[in-house]
Amino acid sequence: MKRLGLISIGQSTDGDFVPVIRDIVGTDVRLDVRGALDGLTDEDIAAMAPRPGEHPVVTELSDGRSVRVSKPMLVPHLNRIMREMLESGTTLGCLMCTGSFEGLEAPEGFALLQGRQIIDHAVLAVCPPGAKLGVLVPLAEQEALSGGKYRDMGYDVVCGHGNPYGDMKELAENARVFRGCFAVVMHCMGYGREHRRVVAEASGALMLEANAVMGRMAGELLV
Amino acid sequence: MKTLGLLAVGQSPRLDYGPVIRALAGPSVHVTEKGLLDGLSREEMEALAPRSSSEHPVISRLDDGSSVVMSKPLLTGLVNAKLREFSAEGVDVAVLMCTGAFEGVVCPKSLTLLSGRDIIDGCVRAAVPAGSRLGALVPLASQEAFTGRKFEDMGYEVVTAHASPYGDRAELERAAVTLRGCGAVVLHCMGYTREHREFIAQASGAMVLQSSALVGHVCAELLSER
Repeated sequence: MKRLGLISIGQSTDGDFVPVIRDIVGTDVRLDVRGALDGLTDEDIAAMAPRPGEHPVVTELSDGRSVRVSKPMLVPHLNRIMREMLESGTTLGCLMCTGSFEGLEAPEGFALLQGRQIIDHAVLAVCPPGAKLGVLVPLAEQEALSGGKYRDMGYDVVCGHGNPYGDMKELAENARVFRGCFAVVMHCMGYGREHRRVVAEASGALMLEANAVMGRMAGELLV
Repeated sequence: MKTLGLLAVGQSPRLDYGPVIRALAGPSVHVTEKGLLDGLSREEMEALAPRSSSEHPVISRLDDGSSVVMSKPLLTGLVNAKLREFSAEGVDVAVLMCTGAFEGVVCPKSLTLLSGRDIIDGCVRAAVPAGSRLGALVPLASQEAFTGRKFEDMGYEVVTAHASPYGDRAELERAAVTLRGCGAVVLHCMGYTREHREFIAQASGAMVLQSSALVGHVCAELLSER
């Protein structure tokens, strides 16, 4: 049976993306789901808090608590998980985060699909240069960084925010900013099919959902 | 429901990629096809032959199994005419199903045109880290240098091989041997099918990116209303 590794930056039950990926790759692929914070105690996780000035990532623990962690401190855990996956026979993994991480080292024989590479190049693949592009991020303070990234790629960017774990009505309200966009990129792995429907309806735009693009790419490579 | 229009450089419908893309698009995306050579007589096609050897030629296969060599600049007018037809029919997004580039294409405002080339290049960059050993399979030996250089310019260590999608198994076997040791291989023509993909994956041990399937995946994701 083919195996696909899904690596989250939280705890492995933090898997809104698991049903989406399962739906895309089908039942004849075994999903090997692991999280960078699996097995860590509250104290371990507290010690991974971002240092002043570091760009934080927000993730969820298996009990539903949301925590902010330092990206550089996640990297050794991600590298360890890739080695452990390879040892157990998984040779293709997906990093389920749209952020960029420095120092990732996939072991020989293991291929890693990174959320950021996947979503950015999917945008370049299907959105013509100069198109009006909506960028949906979880938090208002992430708009500048993610919006700037796509502006640098040559798009006419409109930013909006909506917490994937928050209120759908608020998301629908916020998504009206995307009216007139050619497409909206949902720039977080926490958004699922329901978010997609809500944003598509409110905006009338075409949609690119990060975790579905990841699932399709991984599924294609495993065919 | 959104409509995806596939524009073939030869005749439509295309039995090699049409069914693959329809299957990936699923029931919530309507897929329609047109070919640049649809409805043209043999004489009209022959009139599209390159006028000089300096013109970059395009080769396409016809329904009757024969193939025709055409001048790219002479095809531009046909591309534009088909895009106007797609637009009039209410197609939302059209894809020019060629891994090469066309100059002078004018797309009506109501239609979005995507290029097969941008989709393939984007998907390769999405899935294969820069610096990796990337195999590129092309139909003709004469296309290896150009395609190889394109991927080298993207930062890959490139190995090229050729095998026509319409050719024999022996040619494909030779290509697979050349591609052994690559982490990933891109099948750089829309004519390669699931069978080519399976064969190259088995024989080379690499991850394989099939151009037509990638078009199907990304367009389905963009247009589906799930």
